[in-house]
Amino acid sequence: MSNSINHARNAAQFNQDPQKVTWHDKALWHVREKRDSSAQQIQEWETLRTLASQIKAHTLSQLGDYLELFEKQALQNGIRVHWAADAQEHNQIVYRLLQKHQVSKVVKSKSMLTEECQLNTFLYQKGIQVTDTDLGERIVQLAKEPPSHIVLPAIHKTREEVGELFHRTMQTEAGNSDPTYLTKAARKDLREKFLNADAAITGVNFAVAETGEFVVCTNEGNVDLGANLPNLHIACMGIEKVIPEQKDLGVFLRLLARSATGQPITTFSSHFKKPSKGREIHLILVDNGRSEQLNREDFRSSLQCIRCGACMNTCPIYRRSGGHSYEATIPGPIGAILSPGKDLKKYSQLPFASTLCGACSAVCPVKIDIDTQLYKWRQIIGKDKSLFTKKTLMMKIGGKMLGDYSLYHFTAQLGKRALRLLPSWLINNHFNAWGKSREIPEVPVQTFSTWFKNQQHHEHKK
Amino acid sequence: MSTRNKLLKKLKNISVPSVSKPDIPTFEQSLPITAVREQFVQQLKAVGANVQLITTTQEQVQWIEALVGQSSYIDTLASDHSFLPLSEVENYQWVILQGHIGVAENGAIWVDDNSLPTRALTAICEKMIIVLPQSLIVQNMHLAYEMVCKKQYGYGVFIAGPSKTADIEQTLVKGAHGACELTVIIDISQ
Repeated sequence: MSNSINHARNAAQFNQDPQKVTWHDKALWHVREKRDSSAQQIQEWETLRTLASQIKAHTLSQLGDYLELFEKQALQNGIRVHWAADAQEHNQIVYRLLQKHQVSKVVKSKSMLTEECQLNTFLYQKGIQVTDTDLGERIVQLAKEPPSHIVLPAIHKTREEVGELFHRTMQTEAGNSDPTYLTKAARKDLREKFLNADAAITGVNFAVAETGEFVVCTNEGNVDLGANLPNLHIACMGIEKVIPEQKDLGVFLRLLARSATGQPITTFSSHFKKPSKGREIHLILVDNGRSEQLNREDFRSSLQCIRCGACMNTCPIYRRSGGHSYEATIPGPIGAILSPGKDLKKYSQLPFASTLCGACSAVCPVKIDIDTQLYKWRQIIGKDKSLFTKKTLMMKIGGKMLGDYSLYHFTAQLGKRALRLLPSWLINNHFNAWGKSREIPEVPVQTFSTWFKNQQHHEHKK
Repeated sequence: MSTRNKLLKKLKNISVPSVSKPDIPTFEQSLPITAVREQFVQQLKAVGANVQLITTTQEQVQWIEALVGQSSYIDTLASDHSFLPLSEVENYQWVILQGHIGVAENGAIWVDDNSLPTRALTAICEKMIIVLPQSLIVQNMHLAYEMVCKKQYGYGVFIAGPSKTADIEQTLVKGAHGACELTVIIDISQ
């Protein structure tokens, strides 16, 4: 278990600052509430969710065909298409293109795929200057941290922390943590990077098979500035991002921003179909484990995800443990069903980082049954002894006791007395994770079955 | 075998039960254009844009002059700007663009490279004006894409309000990388 991540331990660490946990929890719940009021304004909201889910399921049922069609149309438009089996091949393709164009400075817009492929680290090692241009991404890049949320990368940072970071890295005024002041400072600093960049790397939200175009959604305009200035634009996408027709965009763009932040649409929904004269657009289609996930019937629909982050904002565990506690590119509920598909041993704790309350599935714009899939991963992990050790003994004892009436009755009587007599340090010891920050409720004078029997006795008397 | 062929072969061998593609309705309601325009104006304000309603070209010119004042500007409506070198674009404070579709449900306006001397104009200037005739406002994104699909473009973008970010403690700040200010001029005579 040495290389597996320990979500519970990471969460405990995050919880050492209760005030910050409350702040984090509230910030994300606020986003969830904005999502709700935005969704409620659309009469056909539930129909749109069903449509989106069906379009995605349909696409996944013919994924190869749609990828081929997309490639054909994109090539016809003058977009060059590349294929990568894994992160390493993806990074190599990017590097080859940058080398060919003698690129030393790159501006990058938000792309969870390049995070997944660890592209930045790879390019730094090759001596290439990479600047993340989305403000949230820039903050975590300067802080040398991974993003903690897929839509709000720096949601874990307070304005004071950002102020201090910008003072240290961009020489802003000491002690000034006004968001407008800090944003303007970043705008000025990044404008220089945009104007001097030799190439732009962007993500992709949707690739349309019918037309061979791809769409990127941002609020800041960093894609429209970044990709349209230098001569080389490299767009990176997972193979599950393809959709059949242009009109499908109508459904997805209505759902995406409303689910993500409660905005009716992102400020920029940018469609790239053909490179402008004298310039090049390259697009990399990346598998990196997606075809394996497609082959897992129970987890296939996790590939429908459009990366809105709604499941994170609503998740009681995510809100109180922070994105970093998952140690995965995609944190939160959706990450907890995607990550075990990539590395079951490493991520075997993540499906347990959930109360199975189902809030994630209730807000998912493409209706992924996230909570069911979390449960299904638990079944797989539970059966594998090498993955699941801590709870096995307790479960065995519990199973035996609950399965035998007289044994259960005896233990209940015993437990009732023991709980009253034993000191709390013995009850809330480190074998009992539930004892952390919880007190056992007061023990009643009689067990339920004794009470029930007495009731029946009284009934008879009447 | 190339990565491409290997992957396509792999995908062919994965049997996924066929799911049919649903028909997408337009969800169009029977509303007078004034009501649709009113919703568009409300949404524009909600996404942080300023709105001016005009009825004549003269009024349009007056409004643009009043907004721009003595600042430098690029008027893509006025004449051919294909000569404009990219390196200079950054020095202009204002840009005036032609909108081709307005979407009432979210305040988004479609702009594409048919009327852009250079693509970066959608995000490079400090302040932006978009001019749009009322007749090009549709109710929602489904109807908008019915119009987009008839267009030829290399680059097109729905712009909804000025560029913005809330990446620092969820506090909304206008003017992240693109325009800090957007005014939409709607010609209600057309």
